[in-house]
Amino acid sequence: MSEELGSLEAELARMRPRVLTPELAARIAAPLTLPPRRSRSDRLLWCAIGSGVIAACTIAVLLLDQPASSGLPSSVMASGSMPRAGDLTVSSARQPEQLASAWK
Amino acid sequence: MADEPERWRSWLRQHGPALLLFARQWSATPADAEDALQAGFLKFWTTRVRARDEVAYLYSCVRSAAIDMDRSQRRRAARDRGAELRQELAFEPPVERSERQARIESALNQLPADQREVVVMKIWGGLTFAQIGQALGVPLHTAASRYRVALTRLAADLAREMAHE
Repeated sequence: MSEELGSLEAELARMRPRVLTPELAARIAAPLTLPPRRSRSDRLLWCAIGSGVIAACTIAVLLLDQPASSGLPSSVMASGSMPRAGDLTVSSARQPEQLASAWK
Repeated sequence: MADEPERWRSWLRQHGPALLLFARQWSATPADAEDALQAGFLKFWTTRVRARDEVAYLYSCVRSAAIDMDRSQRRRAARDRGAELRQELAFEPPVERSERQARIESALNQLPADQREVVVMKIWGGLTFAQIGQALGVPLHTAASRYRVALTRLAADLAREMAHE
């Protein structure tokens, strides 16, 4: 940069911009000194977490509230009429007349 | 954070005067510039975590706020009414305000906005060309080039005025 521009630059730098008035500083300070507000996304997140906790508690209460049964639910118990391993070998070992009577 | 108020006060002390001068580039009145500084600084302080360079981001926030305000219908009407208010002194008067300073202020006001804002950011804001480029969304060399052109033009305007006397 030329000497002329350098001296102009220095001259400009010697000029000081006006300082902020106390009123303006106070106006700027006012919203900054308020307690921070939660943002909308934060509020939504906390709502979702709260709903999840409530749902989990409800499910837990429903499960714990059921009367205690003596054994497993009947749906998972093997029924007597269901075929079992080894049935085929037993059937094959029977005499034909026994099978015929069994099929009658 | 306990030292939070002290931090933003320090930012305001350090950058406030230059930012106010910067905001005046787009504001019809000093009051508009103050509003823009207030809005821009608040935006900066609450969103500064996303900034790559905090100083550049601060200037960018104040610039956006000032431009947004200037665009509004109300501000446009005010500008039409009080165009000459823009000429109000933006600098601290020296003990004896010189003719030379008045000329410089006047010449500064004649600069195109894109050159004037670079001069304000560089001289009174103390920003680097990289920071200026970031704040304005232009390449570094564009910021540097606008600065050189602005100074050359200022020097020429001042020399012309001196020659006329």
